[in-house]
Amino acid sequence: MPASLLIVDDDRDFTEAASDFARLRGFRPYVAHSLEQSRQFAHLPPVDLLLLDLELPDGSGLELLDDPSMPEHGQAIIVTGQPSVETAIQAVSRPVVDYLLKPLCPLQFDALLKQTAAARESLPSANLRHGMIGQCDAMCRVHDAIDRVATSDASVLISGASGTGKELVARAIHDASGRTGPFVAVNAGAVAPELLASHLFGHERGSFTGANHRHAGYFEQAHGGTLFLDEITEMPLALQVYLLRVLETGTVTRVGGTEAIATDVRVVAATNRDPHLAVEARTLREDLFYRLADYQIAMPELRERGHDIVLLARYFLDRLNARHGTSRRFAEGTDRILMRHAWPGNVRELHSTIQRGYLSSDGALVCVRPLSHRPRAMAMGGGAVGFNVGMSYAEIEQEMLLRTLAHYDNDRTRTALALGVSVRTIQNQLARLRNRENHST
Amino acid sequence: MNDVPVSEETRRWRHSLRNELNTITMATSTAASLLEHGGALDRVRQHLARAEAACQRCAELVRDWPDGG
Repeated sequence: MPASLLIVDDDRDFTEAASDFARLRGFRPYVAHSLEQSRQFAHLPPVDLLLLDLELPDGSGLELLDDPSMPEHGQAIIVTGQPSVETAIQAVSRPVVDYLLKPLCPLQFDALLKQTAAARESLPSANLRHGMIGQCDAMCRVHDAIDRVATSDASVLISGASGTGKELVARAIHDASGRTGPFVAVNAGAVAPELLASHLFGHERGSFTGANHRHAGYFEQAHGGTLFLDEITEMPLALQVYLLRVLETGTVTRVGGTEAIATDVRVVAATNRDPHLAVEARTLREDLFYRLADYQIAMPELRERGHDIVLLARYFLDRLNARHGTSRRFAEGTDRILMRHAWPGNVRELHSTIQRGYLSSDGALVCVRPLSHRPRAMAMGGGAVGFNVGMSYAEIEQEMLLRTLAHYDNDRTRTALALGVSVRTIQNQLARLRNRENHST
Repeated sequence: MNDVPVSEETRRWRHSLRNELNTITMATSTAASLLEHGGALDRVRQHLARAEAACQRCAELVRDWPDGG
């Protein structure tokens, strides 16, 4: 996989130019124009370089350096048009940070990219296939599926719990596809529903209040490449109809526009729900499902991946050692701890646990302490719910109620019928839940 | 570094000027890189148009020099 770069700057002209500059040098650029947009990249795998402006519309870029919701990053470079002694001191007191003044010299930027690419080359890459660690049977099936489907025109729907690596698979499909355009990722659940159409399909100037410029949407930006639509079941149904039309016709009409713009985009979609249940619950249109799911890939949960857990943990520690120039190793018994934990947050949780262990270790040994979780209901396919020993009756009742409600699309009458209680009982239970939540916050 | 205290207006002005210069530098350099790599001419033109627009904004900024700037 190519080296990656996250550019955080509110100047769109600069970010467009800097993205192309980096792309020409083999980098995969990501762009954010505000703190809020930057935090939406939390799901990204580690980025190799972070280019950060200080003056952003919603705060100082410095806030992002300590923000746990940012993706892990290698070197961070502050590039500011508003230099001050105060911010320089704040910046350079942090590890792996440089402080540069605008205008950014292209020769210097080029050197930075070369240095970052070289540092990446020296990172441990054993056991990597398609940019992922995974040798268990389930992951071998995922790798085989990527090989089979990448060069075809088939649409792909990836399903799996949060943190299992759906975007990595989408990225791997793009990398192996031979498509020369960019990989553009959008999380349908992270964009406000009223803005999603404009983000996806673009808008014309003056098409709504605040539309001061013509804007090319993600479909146009992904021309010649791949558009990854994550959390597809969170997309409003009305928009799903329009998405289906775009996929069928291969053309996009911007919001407020009339011109049909031809786009050559391969769409890879993903969901953390069972797609068939989502169709049944009417959060995913059946016709769109068939259009998106020529080929389906199911991601295994981390706890089902056996020894991969240990391989992944060692890989994360190797990366930390390489970045900080250390040679720490896991304390004795770590493999046992790793294999015993259920990892409900999957690879994302494992990564965070290793990072926490590394940062809290004083010497050469890293102790891994996964966070303890209360036993929770176990989601099962086919509309079934399983429960773990240790849950109270109240928790089981709550889980059953919420899952049945979700199954019937929040229809309280059908939920009451299914559970054999009155609608009033459902309403009372929901009110009690709300009260409990209010007291606990 | 801005060790000498300046007015807020001057501070904003310098910031805007640096941002425009940043766009010009990066857009022209990227256009040149695209030409070297045989990139799409449309993309080259887009970057040059960005640079030209930023040059015009620079011209406006140096016309409206702030007091004490």
